[in-house]
Amino acid sequence: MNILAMWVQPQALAKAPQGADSSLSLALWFLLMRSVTSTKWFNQQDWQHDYPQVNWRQPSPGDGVRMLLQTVWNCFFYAHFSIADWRLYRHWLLIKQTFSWLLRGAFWPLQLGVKWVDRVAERPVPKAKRWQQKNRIINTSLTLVLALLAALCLTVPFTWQAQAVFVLILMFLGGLINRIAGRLPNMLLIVLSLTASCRYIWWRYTSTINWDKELDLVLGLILLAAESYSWVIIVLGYVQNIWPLNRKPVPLPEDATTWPSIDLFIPTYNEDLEVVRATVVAALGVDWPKDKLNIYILDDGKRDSFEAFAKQFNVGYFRRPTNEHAKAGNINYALKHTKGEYVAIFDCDHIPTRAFFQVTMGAFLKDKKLALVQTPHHFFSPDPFEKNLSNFRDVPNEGNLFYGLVQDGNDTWDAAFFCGSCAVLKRAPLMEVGGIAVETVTEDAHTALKMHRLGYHSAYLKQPVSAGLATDSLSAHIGQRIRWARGMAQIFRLDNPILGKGLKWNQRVCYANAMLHFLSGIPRLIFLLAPLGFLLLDAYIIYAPAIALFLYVLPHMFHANITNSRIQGEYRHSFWGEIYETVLAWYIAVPTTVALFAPHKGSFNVTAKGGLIEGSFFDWAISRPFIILIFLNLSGAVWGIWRLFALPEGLVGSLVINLFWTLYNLLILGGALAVAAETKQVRASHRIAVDLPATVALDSGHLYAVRMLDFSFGGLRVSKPNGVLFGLGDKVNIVLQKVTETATFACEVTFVNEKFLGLKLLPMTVEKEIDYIQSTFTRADTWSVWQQAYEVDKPMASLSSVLVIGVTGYRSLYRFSPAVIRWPMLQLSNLVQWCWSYMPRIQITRG
Amino acid sequence: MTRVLVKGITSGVGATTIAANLTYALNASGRTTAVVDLDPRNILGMWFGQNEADPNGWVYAELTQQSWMLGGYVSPQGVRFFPFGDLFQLPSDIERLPWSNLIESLLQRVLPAMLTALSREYEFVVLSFPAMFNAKLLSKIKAFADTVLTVIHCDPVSFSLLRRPSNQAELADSFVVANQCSVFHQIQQDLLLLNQGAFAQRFISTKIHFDIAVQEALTSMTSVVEYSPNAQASHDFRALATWLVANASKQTQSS
Repeated sequence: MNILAMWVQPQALAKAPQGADSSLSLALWFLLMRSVTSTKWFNQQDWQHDYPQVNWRQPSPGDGVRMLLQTVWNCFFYAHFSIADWRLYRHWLLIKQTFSWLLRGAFWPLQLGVKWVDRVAERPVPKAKRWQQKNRIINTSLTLVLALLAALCLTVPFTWQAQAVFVLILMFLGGLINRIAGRLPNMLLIVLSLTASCRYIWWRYTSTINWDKELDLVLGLILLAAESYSWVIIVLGYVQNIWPLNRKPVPLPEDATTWPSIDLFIPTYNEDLEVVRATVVAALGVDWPKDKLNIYILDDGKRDSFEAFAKQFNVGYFRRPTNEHAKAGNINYALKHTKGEYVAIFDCDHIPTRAFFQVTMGAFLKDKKLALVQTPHHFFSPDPFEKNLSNFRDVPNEGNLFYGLVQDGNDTWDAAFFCGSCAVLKRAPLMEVGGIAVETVTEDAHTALKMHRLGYHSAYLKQPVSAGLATDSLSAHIGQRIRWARGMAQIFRLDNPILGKGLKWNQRVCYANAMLHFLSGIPRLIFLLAPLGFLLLDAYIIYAPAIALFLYVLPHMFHANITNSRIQGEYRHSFWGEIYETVLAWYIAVPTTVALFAPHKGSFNVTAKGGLIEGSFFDWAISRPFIILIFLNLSGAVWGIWRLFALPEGLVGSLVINLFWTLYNLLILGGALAVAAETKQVRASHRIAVDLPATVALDSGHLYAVRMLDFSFGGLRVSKPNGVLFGLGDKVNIVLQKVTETATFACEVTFVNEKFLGLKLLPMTVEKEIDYIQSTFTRADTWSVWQQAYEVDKPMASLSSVLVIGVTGYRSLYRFSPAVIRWPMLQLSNLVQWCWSYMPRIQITRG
Repeated sequence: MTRVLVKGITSGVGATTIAANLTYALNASGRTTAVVDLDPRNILGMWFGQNEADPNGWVYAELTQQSWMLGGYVSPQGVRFFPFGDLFQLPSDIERLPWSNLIESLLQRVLPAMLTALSREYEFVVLSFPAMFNAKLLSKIKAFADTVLTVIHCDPVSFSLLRRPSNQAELADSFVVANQCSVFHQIQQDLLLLNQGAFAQRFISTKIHFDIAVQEALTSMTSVVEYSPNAQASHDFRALATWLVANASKQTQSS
């Protein structure tokens, strides 16, 4: 087509005759010229390639126009275009590369300096009293000077120009510091972010409230309260996570006779026996002297099948006469009837690896005041977000931030708290606080708070030494979070960490942050509805010109984003937190408010785990609040757009800003909707992906070396050896490795294709079951890829994927809508598609 | 230039099998290998495709034509092998010496030169040593070898012999490899676990599983590595060859 473009003068087109017939014949003339000037014979493929929007098998009436438009386009624009060939783009890439190379060279001595500082900071502090005293004087005086400077810097009012310059310098510095690796840049970025955010909040308090109009005042103050809440959370979060401890396991002494006795509790209420079975079998296989480990099933469901199961597997069984205080009461009852020095608590679906006690118990023997060692809750099945958004193992899940970073940060300040499962507690401190706390529904955090008040220490080991089932459906997930939120609000009200004695200031900060985090329901709702105040009610909630908004809000958001991305990048990708919070906001708003004012109201609801979702469905009940919010935002957006075009100028800046905010809210709400579209769960047992060697042994005496690709409670999948035939129902044996030995299991073939073999385990003895769990679930290396599989956060990519999820949410809303709504939308989308088919295309270069 | 001596703790444990398949595995991994049979039962040739009726071998050739080189063959896969030769089919005019004298004289006269010549051409030379020879002969031949592999079964007899005090001297510098390990029988696992501790450094972690494909390969007169590359036994022999190569390079580095 280039030949034609060069050959035919564009002026010829300008003199084109009028009338449809002539334009059609012109198109035909061009086509003729095209086929004549091409270097090879034209076939249908060429036509399809040059005019991709035309379906040559089913020509339709508008095709002539389409071809004409495409031909005209090709005359003026370079047809074979790819951005990688564009000279300007190549130059830009080169400039970027040179710039980054120069920066790296310039920063190299700085990087070395930062590394040195980090190393010095990791050294343990000398305990000499005189050193401490001298330092205290220096520290206090420096802090005072700093506080004065900060007060000055944060409150001095700037003109727009000065603020713009200040902000640009800050952003430039932030970008530069972000390039240096290490912990010191984290702290510097926190300082910059605090500067921007504190200036922002000061400005909001002093200059943006409209005292004249009542509606503006009320709404403005509400928004200001929500923003203050956010600011407090940001600041406390920085303090909490400024230096994650990364504690390493302490080795146990060689002599096993000095090791203490442990009671392992597995509380259960209404879960299936299947779920508890694997946990019990895994517990039987944990490495610890058998005479020092007592396993107990605490059955609140009073089921005989569980009692029989406990007897068969030779583990303890407790059935208390009453059911008060749910899990806390259950554990307290068992505490009264057992004697072990330490108590390990596992939820009925959390499987410990063999190395659990080897890794955790050493710390107790080293620190006599240690009362708790907590390990992460790692899930081998996807939670509702990962399942319904299909990002399992691509994007870190919601719990990853807490167990990867927040608890680690808490650990630095000795404020790591008990999370209810996968932890070891020392009996003496536990009995001193009266057993597990029963006053609130989040009994685990409350117990840890009580132990901290008495001066005991806690530890958090970020080793994935156990794994469990995540909540299955969105409703179960929300139910669990409501319970946590209510419980935390209750603790905040009944046993406030900021007041009360026994805690150090940093412990107070960490606990306060944990509890305040759960009060985010109402502020999040306020943020979702805030732009409507201006769009629908014409109230100036933020009484400031648009330029001021840019100069104060943007740096605040920019710095918060890059600092959080830097600190949390491995554990949570940017903007995903918005979706998690939005989904929960409506549901935790009311329970937390009720709990703050009337802590003893409300009931404890147990989290449902391990169910099979029969078909895919859209959880309308759960998504009703989102739809209401979407409707409100949509009406605000529509009204705002109308005002933009219909009403006089002067408001454009604020309107545009509010419209963008509304659009962002709509997309986040769409993301929340996407989670409500539950996908069908294909199989009852969850599969864990691995890549381990195994052997398939046939009864004929043949053995084949294969790779085990995934396993579950009931079976596994292996690679199929080449050239060997398997039929469905064949009996084979699978040989798995168990550290130094191998174990053989009888299986039946349930699935065959060229690459894979699906095997179902046949019924086996108790010993064999223990062997299987030890060869698969409780191998210490099965979970060692936890957190390493995630890519580091890239904020812009993360933002775009979150926004895409938002669009997906609307699509699934549409998909599950009743026909009366679907029909007009379908016609609309058909119309849009028809119009789009007339657009000329850029042709893809053929290879 | 490594010489590997493969012997069994007793007869019938599969030393010849290991020697033959190990040679194939080394060859398949790209190392030039030659194998020499020191066993008068003359069964190594079967693994490499020698005609059953053919009595030729390096000892046969040395006795009949005074040149051991005429007793060597190349297998279809390109492996150089030297069968012992069927001494029962020697021509009547050759003097029949008693076994021990014959072997002793061969050892002094022929074997050093043979090994030197082969070492020049091949990276690995595998020697298959029979269990029937006495300890004195074994110690003499061990002098020629860089690595010694002792093959055992995972059964009580092998372990009993392995722990026997009178055998400790000859096992002192040898590696132990378990052959024909069954995946179905717990007793074998238990025995292995029990004895791996006593021989920690000497036990090779790769064990050769009992796989019927090995016998099937022999009936096709080739190694299981060629016959059934998917088989667990092939996998094990390849792993053993890899271990051997790594061990050989470690030895040359330390010496």
